[in-house]
Amino acid sequence: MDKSVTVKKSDGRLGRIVSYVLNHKVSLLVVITIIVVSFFQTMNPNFLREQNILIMLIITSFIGFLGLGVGLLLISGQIDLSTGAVTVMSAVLVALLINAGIPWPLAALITLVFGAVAGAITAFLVNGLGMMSFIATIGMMSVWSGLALVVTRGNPITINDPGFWALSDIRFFDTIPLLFVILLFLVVLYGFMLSQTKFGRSIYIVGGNKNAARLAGINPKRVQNILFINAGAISALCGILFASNFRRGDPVAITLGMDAITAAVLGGISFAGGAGGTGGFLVGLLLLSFFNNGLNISGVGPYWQTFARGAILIAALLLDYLRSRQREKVIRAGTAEKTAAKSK
Amino acid sequence: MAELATSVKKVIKSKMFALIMLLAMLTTFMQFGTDGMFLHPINIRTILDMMIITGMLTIGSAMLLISGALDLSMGAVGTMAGMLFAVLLRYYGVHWSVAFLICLALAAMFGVVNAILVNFARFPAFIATLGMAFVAEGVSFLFAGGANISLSDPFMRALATGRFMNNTIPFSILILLVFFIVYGLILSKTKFGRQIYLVGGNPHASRLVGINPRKISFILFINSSMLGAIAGIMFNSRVAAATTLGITERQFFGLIAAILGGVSFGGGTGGLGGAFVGLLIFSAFGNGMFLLGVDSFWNQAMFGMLLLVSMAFDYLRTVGWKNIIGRRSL
Repeated sequence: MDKSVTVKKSDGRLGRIVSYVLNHKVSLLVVITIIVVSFFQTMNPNFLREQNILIMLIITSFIGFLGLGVGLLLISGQIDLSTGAVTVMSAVLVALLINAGIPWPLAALITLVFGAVAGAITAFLVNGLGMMSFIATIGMMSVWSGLALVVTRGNPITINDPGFWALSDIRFFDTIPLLFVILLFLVVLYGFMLSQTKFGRSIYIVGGNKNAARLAGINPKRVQNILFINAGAISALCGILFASNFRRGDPVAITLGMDAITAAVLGGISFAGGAGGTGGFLVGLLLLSFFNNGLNISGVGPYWQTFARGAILIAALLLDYLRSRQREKVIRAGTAEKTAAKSK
Repeated sequence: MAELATSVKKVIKSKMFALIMLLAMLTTFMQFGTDGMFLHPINIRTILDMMIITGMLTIGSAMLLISGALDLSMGAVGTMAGMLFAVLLRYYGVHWSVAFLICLALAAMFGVVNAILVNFARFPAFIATLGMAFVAEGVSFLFAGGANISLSDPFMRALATGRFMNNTIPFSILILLVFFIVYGLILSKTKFGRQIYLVGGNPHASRLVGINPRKISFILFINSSMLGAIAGIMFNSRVAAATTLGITERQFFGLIAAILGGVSFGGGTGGLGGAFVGLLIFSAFGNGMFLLGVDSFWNQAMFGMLLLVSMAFDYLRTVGWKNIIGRRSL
């Protein structure tokens, strides 16, 4: 995580606890995850069974793909709420293409291009027409999920292509699905890009301070456009794998998009932009899926699960808020010290 | 004579004129497209019948948008309040007026939480209210365990579906008009209303002239939740049942209508007159699509596109056509 900004020890017991928590956020998330896992394991011994882990890893991968796309956008100071809908549309599209007799690798490629185009449209709306990203993507969300309903007339489209099914049937060590391995690969890839490449660092600058980025010769709109297209393409990838896993393109909207944002914020990607990384994201993602799955198999009703979903989102945001406020304090203290030194 | 010419020019250039022209164009198109079915009295009555629900959401959205915030939980809070209303009437035998007040109080609590999250925890309004929408959805599930409840209070049903003047004009449209007029007067004539514009236009300046933006934000969030609750209760009384879906998906309708009516997303501009015309355009569009026989699967995609188009027009209006063309040439 961003160790560069260590939170200053503040006075008072509460302040000290808060700053401790914030300084050790990722390790704390790991501890919470372990507690959650052991809790659900004692509640229901089936929790850590092979079969359940498999299901969990598959769902985690789907949320993870979307989370990577939207997480990078959050770091750059934008948001995309339409990822879930692009996923649904892509799943339908790939199913239609395969059923039309196109070989599945080509169909998957066309779908990826569709995702990139969808991202480009969003990028145009946000950076070309100056719309706020959340409302523009809410519009795009209903456009894509609506179109998915239109082209399928509300019915799922079954795919009959064993080659395409096999994509999600591959398992490593009999339990780890290929999907999850792809996710891990992407997490490492994006993590490397974020922390080691010039483009990755420019994402942080754009999200932290747009004007400073412009002064440093970075085009913020260009960076954000690339990330919007990336989010669209990765959502399409998610849709393809979704279709492969369930062997059909289902036009019914799924709530993966919102879960992806929750996982990202939970994992320390700041809502205000400019902070967070893929390592923390992965921990946040695992925590969220353990939690969701645990609630599910402990027999908690769907009502409480909806309720819990909102509550977790708000809790994650609250943590994010405390964190960014602490950071502001440090920055303010830093500038105060500098001005004091100057006046001396 | 010259004076008349300038005032005519002014009228033609105004936002309201453009909106009314748009409405007129839409009406003409639908009228010819549907062979005169569109302006048939029975169809007009149908449009007016359902307008109160979107209308309440429009007022709440418009007020908040003018102050520079928005509330995406109105629909879900409305569904929740409607569900509680039905449960109180059906299972507890509470009188409708008491139940109505209890529902408003519950909705007001959601408004308070929204306002706290936005003003004190400084969440972006859309994500705070989106989170609260999930919470409200969960709570409305809890009230009835996910079941649908029939609702047949004679008074509320009469209020929501009743018509007078030879069964032509619905009561509900009069209630809506009264709301629009009252809120319009508050916005344009009272000190509080003008303060809302100032807060939306420039929060910093408003603080300097001694306005408390937080107080205004609290009032408006509570207001929007309560209007959502009224919409939810009216909807349930109208269809004589409370469902867990309720008016949740109509949430964006109010927002679209308000933006169509010239309430800007940036805050500080627009008014309820424009919002009302926006509401008429929105309702006429939805009804016209239905009459034209457009596949109902298109609805969702259509409304998304309508939202995006109205946002694009909002952008063009604030920036101005000339500036865009000018910027291109630079």
